[in-house]
Amino acid sequence: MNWLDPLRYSFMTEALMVSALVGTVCAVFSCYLVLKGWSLMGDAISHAVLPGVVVAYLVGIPLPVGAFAAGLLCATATGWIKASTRIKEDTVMGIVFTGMFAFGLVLFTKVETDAHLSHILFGNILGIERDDLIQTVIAAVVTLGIVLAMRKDLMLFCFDTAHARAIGLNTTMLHYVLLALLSGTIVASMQAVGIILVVAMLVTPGCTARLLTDRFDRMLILATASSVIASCLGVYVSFFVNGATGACIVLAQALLFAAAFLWHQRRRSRFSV
Amino acid sequence: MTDLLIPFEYAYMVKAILVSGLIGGVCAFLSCFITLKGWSLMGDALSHAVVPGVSLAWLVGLPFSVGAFIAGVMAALTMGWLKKKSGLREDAVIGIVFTSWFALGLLLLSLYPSNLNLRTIIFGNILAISDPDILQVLIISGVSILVLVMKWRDLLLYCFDEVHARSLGLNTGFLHLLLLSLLAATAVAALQTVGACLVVAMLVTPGATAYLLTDRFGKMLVIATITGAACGLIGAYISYYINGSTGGCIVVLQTFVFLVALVFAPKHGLLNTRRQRRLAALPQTS
Amino acid sequence: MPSLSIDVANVTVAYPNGHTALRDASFHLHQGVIAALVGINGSGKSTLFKSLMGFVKPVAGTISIAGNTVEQARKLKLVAYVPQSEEVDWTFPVSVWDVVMMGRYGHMNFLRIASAEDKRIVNESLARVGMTDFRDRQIGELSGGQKKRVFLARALAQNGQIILLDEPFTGVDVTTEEAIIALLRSLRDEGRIILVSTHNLGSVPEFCDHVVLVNRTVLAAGPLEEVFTEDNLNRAFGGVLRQFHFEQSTIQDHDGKTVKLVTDDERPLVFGKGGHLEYKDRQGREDLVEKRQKEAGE
Repeated sequence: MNWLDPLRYSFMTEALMVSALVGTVCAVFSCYLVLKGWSLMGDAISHAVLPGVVVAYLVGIPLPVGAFAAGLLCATATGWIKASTRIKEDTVMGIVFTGMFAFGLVLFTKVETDAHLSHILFGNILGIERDDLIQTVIAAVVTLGIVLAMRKDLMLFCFDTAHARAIGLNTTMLHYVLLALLSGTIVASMQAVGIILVVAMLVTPGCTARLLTDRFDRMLILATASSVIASCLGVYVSFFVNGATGACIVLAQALLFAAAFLWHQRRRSRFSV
Repeated sequence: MTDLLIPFEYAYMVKAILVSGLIGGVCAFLSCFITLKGWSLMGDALSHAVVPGVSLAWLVGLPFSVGAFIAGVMAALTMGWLKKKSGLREDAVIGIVFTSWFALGLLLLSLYPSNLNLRTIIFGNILAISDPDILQVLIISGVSILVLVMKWRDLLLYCFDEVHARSLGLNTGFLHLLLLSLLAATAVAALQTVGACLVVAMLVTPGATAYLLTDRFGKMLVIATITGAACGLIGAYISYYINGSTGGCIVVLQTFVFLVALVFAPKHGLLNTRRQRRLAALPQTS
Repeated sequence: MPSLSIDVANVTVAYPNGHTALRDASFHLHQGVIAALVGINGSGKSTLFKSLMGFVKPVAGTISIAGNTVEQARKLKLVAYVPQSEEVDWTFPVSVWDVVMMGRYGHMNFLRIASAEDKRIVNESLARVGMTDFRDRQIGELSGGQKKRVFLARALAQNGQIILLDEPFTGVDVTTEEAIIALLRSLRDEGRIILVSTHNLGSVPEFCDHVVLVNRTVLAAGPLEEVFTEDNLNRAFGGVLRQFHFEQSTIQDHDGKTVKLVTDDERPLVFGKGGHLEYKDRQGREDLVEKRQKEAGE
């Protein structure tokens, strides 16, 4: 088989483009997520969108709308329970997202049959349909646009919330904006990598970039670059090994992270001598 | 009346109910430590990280639980090592490692299908559990319970005040590894019942529920274990009637019990804290 | 066992990341003292505590506790640690009794089942700090001073001969502070060594006999009145301290030279003209007054 073979199929070129787009959105957002220490929140919301997807399917509204609403519900419920009890935040998140995921699962096994839903879980970038493609692109472009437009405010919020409040930014609003953007990012990527592996897309690029630079602007660029490369590489490789595409993308992310880590170690040992 | 007994006429249902109850209890016992230590993300991570072990164990012909356990512990050690070396935040490191492990597991499963299929691993399928698998679950649960009953006081001290534990000469490195191993072991045991995505619920929710109901650790252990076991038993039983995912039913039930405790708990419940606040707002008349 | 003492000789501690937290530190404490460990944040106070508990190994120098190595001392449970309030999770579901019982864990068997003897000691320790009535309270329900007393009781239950206290007076009101100080004095009188890490300079002269001044090394160590001088403190704190000079009242002369200093919870440290330490009042310091007078006469 020729190494250019994949590019001859239109579904492959389409998949490569979609994964690059999704990779970009996730990477930009992951820089904020990593700095804010919200990895678990990413994991939680990505699982919690399941009941939203199932309900949206049952009611007949676009799946991303349901997913987005469920994601926000998870985030607000977590915040509310955390504020009114003494239970640690990570525990609250664990309870809320598993509860929602389990509820979604029970519904899911009841309605069953439709292929759409298992594509939501594991992603189906190679067989993505026209409608889903449009939804994905819209969600990705909107989310990316808002993140880039608000990047200075969000960055300040992640770095020093107290200062952000002191200079008159509405930090409660920013908090929910960040959560909404997180939900949006997850919605954009769920068709591609599936909600179970989205968290990797949301954490790894930011960390890879963090190891390579100490500047936030460069971090954004490096994260995006590594994420896009990994996404395309994953799609490309999965064509040859005939394995799960989402998994291949995540493993490619992990490889890039490992490379960045080795570089970081070598540089550090050189400095400390 | 006899309708309610139907599930018990099927041997597979009886097995499923009992095994769910057992695993629910063991996970719940451990969940008291996990919630107090703040290790929810770790629980979630390890329950995903065991997946490649399942696949590899099948390829080399080992019992799945051995492979899964080894994969889980290796993931935990990698996290510890990476965190120390890279200086990244702990939650981020956990996120990277467990998703990579999990992705590796998914890839392996898609390339080399094993006896446990993908759906079983992700969502659990207790109704189809085989007798050898039940045996594995029994062994894991038995060992975990034994270790927990013997060492719970040390683990409590470790969770509460690590510095004091060290100054008394307790080997906190060992206790850390012990807790991680127990976490990995119970995650493996719960894998077939509720699936990788929901194991963390078993490892967090009962402990948090009990924490709302009491201020004593001893009572917390008892309440959590009873809640966990009861939810396991009843959840599996109910799943027969609604014909839905067993794991989903168990976890929904656990979440429901948590919500009830959240609202009605005598001291830390929302109703009571609301009332306290209202009372505080009233003018003092004493 | 030789009599209780702490000997720190030429200790240097460097962390794996290459940071040297303490260089060539030496001091000696004998039994029956309350010693203050004084220095700014990052001066190596907590590193010194960690080395005494054996959590970090010095890269050079030796630490000996009652003639033992740190490892042996840990086996004998000689060193007890009372943590800073911020380090403790006060929502943890344990009662006062549970916490004090934790002091006995090192002495118990593999399964940590409390014997009648353990219970007796825990009861005694609780009575000693006056917390018997609170034994069934969850720890978060206590006031700041009560919390501190519970952890002191734990140190007693452990039978620690050397008690390390980390910033014991933050979040504690003045009355409770005095109660705790009284308790520390009675422990000292039994021959224990009490080492208190603090940045609250004003409280040091009120209850400490010895001072160890640190700033990346031990600058000075010894009896309070010798070490706690303006010069030494300037060396330890650099320009960090705020200073007020009262040569006389700034607005009137008719009432002599008396100036009164009022502060909130941080106690002030007052020096005389030559940089010597001033106490709260003369009572109990008669011998010092006599000594100084003699020195001045010579």
